[in-house]
Parts: sequence; C-alpha cells; structure tokens
Amino acid sequence: MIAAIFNLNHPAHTVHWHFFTMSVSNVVVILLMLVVFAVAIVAPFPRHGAGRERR
Amino acid sequence: MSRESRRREDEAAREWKGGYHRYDIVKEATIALGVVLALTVALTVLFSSPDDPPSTIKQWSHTDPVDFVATATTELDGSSGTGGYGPPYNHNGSGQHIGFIHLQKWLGVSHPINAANDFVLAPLRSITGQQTLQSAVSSYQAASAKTRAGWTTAYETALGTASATPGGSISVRAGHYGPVPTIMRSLLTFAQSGGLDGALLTSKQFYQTDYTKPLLFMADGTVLETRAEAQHLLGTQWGMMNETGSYPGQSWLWLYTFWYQIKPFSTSANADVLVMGVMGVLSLAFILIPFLPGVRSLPRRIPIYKLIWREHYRTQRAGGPPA
Amino acid sequence: MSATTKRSWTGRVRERAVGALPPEKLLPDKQPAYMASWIYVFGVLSLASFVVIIASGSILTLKGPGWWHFTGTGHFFNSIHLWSVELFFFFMVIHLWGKYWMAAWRGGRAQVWMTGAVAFIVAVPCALTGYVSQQNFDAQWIATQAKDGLNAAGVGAFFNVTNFGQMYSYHVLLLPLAVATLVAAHILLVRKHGIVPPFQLSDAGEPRATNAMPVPDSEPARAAGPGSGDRPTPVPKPAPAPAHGPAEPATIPAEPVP
Repeated sequence: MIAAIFNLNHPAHTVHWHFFTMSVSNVVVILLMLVVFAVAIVAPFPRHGAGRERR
Repeated sequence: MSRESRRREDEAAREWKGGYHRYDIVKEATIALGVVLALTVALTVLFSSPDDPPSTIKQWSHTDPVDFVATATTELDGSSGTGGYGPPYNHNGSGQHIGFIHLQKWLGVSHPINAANDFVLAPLRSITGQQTLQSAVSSYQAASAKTRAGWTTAYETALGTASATPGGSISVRAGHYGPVPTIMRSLLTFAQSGGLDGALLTSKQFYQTDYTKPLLFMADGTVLETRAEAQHLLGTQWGMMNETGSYPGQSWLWLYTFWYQIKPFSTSANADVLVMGVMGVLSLAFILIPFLPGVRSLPRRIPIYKLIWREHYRTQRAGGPPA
Repeated sequence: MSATTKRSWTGRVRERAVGALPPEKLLPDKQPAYMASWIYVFGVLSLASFVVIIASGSILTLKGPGWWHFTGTGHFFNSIHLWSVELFFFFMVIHLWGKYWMAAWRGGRAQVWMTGAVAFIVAVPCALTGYVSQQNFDAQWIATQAKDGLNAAGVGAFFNVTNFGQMYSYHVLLLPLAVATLVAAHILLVRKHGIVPPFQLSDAGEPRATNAMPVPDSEPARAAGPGSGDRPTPVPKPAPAPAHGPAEPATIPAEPVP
C-alpha cells in the first residue's frame, strides 16, 4: 500500500472552548468554510471584456 | 414588509430584463470537475483515509476476559443494556418518549432478541460432546427465576474483584453461584476460539449480512467504548462529528451532537428522542425558510448581498442601464 | 399544439417539458450580468463533487465492500470517495450560505430552495449509511451509537444501522438515487427560473419592494421604500455621463422599452 504523505492515524488533538470540544481537524474544516465563504464574496471576479451579448 | 410589497418584489424578481454576458455552462462544469478531481487526488495523496480494524468477540475475550464474562452474565440475567432495551429488540422496557408520544413503543419489536438465550444459552447448546456444560445449562434453565437471579447477582458482585489469569481465563473468589461459573467458563473458551463471533451471526439461513447480535453484545461491554474514548468518539466528546485518528469527520452533524451537551438533553432519559424531535423541527424550518417571517427577511437586513452584487450596484449608480 | 399532440400523452409531456425548458434555457450560453462573484461557483463545485462521489463509489462496488481493506488500489479509491464526500458537504454548505444571504427563493423560486434543502437533508443519512458500511471499527462504533437515536424515534424498527446488508443497499442504491433525483430537480428548477436577480435598491441604498423598471408608455413606475409598500417615490433618473467620457458599462444595455 502506498502510504500517505501525512499520517493522520493517531488520536486527534482537541480544541476546548467553554463547553465546546472539537477535534482540530473539524475546527480546521469549519474555519476553512468560513474563510472560503468570505473570500468568495469579497474577492474580485474577472470582469467580462469584449463580446458581450445583447439580450 | 407588507404582503403587497413582498408580492410586488417577487414579481420583479421573476424575470431578469437587464443585460447578459457570454457564458459557457459546459466549460464551467468541466473546469469544476477538474478542480474537484485535482483536490480529491491531492487530499488522498496527502492524507489517505482511516481504517481502524474492527473489534471481534474473540479479541475482546482474550484482551479483557473479566469484562467479557461480566457482560455475558448481565446478558444471562437480562440486566444488560440490550436485555432491558425495549423495542425494537424486546418488550423489557418501554423506550423513550416525548410526552404521550411513544414512537419507540408504537413501532414495536421488529428485531426480537432474547439476551439470555441469544447471547449465552443457544450458542452453548450448539456445542456438542460437552456433557458437563449441557448439564449446567439444563440445571440453570430448570431453576426458578429467583434462584437464577440469586446466582447471577452474586457472580456479578464477585466479578467486580475478579482478575484475568495468564492462561486467558479468569479467577473469581469462591461463592454460591450455582452452574453460572461453568456456563461462563465455557462461553469464554468458545469466544476465545472465535466460535461465538460465528454463532451470533448464524440464524435460520446460510447467508448472513445482519451483525446486530454481535454488535449489541460488544456494545453492552466496554470493548468498543474503550477504543472510542481513546479516539474522542464518545458522546461527551462531541464524538458524533469525529473520525478515528486525526481525520475530519461528519462535521455537518455539529448541531445534532450540540444538543446532547446542554440541559435538558444532557440529563434526560429521553435525550435521543428529544434531540431527534428538535432536529426534525429545525430541518422542516430549514426547508420552509422562504415562508418563515423574520428568517426570510434577515438577508435584507444584514446586507451581505451588497458585497455579492457590488459590481451590479456600482454600474447602476454610475448611470448605466439596469444591469 | 396540433390536434394529434393534444390527444397524445407523449405530445403533451413533450410540449410541457420544452415549454418549461427550451434548449436555450437548459443549456444557455449567456448569463445575467449581475453574476460577477465567486460565490456563484459553489453550486457547480458541489455538483462536481457529487459526480466524483458516484464515480469513486461505483469503482468501490466493482470489487465488493471488503476490497478496500486489502489492496492499495482499493484503499486509494476509498480515500477518493471519503475526500469527495468532505468536499461535497464543504462546497454545499458555502453554496447554501451564499444562497441564503441572496434570499435566492425570491421571484417564485421557493421550490429551488426547498429541493436544495431536502437534498442536503437526504445527503446526511446517505453519508451515515456509508460510514456504517465501512466494515471497520468506525462502522461498529457509529452503528452502535446511531441505533439509539433512531430506535428512540421509532425509525430503528425498519432502518437497522447494525444490519450491514440493509445499510449497504441503502448506501449504494436507494439514497444516492434519492440525492441524485433531488439534485436533478434542483438544477432543472434553477434553469427554469433563472438565477435570482439582486435586490433592487432605493435611493437610500435599501432594498426596494417593487419593480422599479420603466413600464411601457410613459407612466413612471411607482416605487415604494422598504417596509411601507404604500408611499410611492419617484423612479431615480440615470445619472448623467461623467465628463471624462462614459464609463465602460459592465454589460450591453437592454433594449429600450418601446
């Protein structure tokens, strides 16, 4: 079997905040969702140049 | 917002009468597929996926014979989790409810399990050529309920101070346990040979796919729970969201597991059905957001839309045509 | 519709289908000019993830449920399947957030929202049945835990998470079919209704409640401020062209209303 580059097969580190307990990997996923959402909304979108259609 | 103004806004939003730009939907879908494939392969090469091997009854009986025998004794006298579960396994409990709504009871016993017979007595009855064992099982079955309870209760108490022997058996202090020690020693030997894994899977047909009995038996003990705690998978560890190892799990289940952490759910005997009820209501509300006052107006009040459509509004303000 | 078509079921179905989704709507080559944000790509990214899930899942079924435990190739495709599921939910949640903040159910698009929401909700048990079909420790733990929630709600009486055969059938056939049907309905509804236009802003920069588009003839359109619905305000005239020359418009203007 080809081994993964990063071995994640060890018990997870957890984040404790008040009564929230989450594995670091899940926290990373959720934070990444929020970051990507914010970037998607804020990042400039390439404007369309020539070749626009009339309706 | 009045109903009339909402209706007018809806009419205005039905059809776009402004400008368009060129767009290639097939190209966009192809690029998206390429991007997702690239991301998936990258994640696979970087992290692979977890595959912790399953526990078996054979392993359990070797590594923790005291816990195995203690669990088997609670199955024998019906005091185990499965023994007193209620529907869908048996009628020995009424199950959970919300007020007068007893869904668990109303849907009935669809997967009958008699803990004493299915987990202990029937597998032992299948062992041939063991007269001492069969006599012990017969004398247990012939005794009164009160006598049997006396034997199993005393044995369970003694198991609290029992220990495993180097040979893989257990050492229990002397006492009045009737035929229970003989039954349990034989069951332990049977489990350690791997026979019990197979026996619990067997039913009235040759081909098997239903692992309910071996799973419930293991879940009544501590073998699965011990592994789960080490992997942060317990309910109190928000385990529903987690995965073995350091992999991301089902993070979309965060709200399901959240309720179990707070009162009244965390201290309720009906926690499961209460949480399912709350999530059912919230799921319905999620589907019906377009019709929920307040919730449907929030996007208007918190103008994230101004960021999304800023190019459009900029063009409008610059005096361009409605774009 | 010809007389023959009127009598024919096929003809009537065809007329309705083509009426709702003519080819240029089904496979458009233009899109509204207001679609100028990266948030709009998350729907198609969710769909692409779903395609990879189905493809990798199909490969896993070719060699049976035990294959991936014993070979590197099998484990590779299991990993593809797992990560495409994570990406599917990742992109779908961002798509959902974007659509919520756009109030994308406006303009008769409630069904679009509802099919999307139900698709998400059905995808959750679809994933769960996959997790309990893994035939490893994770499957054992998830099954023995999930059974309590499902039994408590009575669902466990006919949906047994500890029955591998049943769960594998749900996971490989029934639930993906349900998700695919919902996703297809969702996408066809999007094509039928179009992408929701932006909120129209009044002079104060607040969402306007009515259609501010000029109507035919010379009657100025009546418009109302937010919340009132009754007090008309004048339609804002377009600003004069700036002195340095007209700015390059983002789009070609629509045809003037005759």
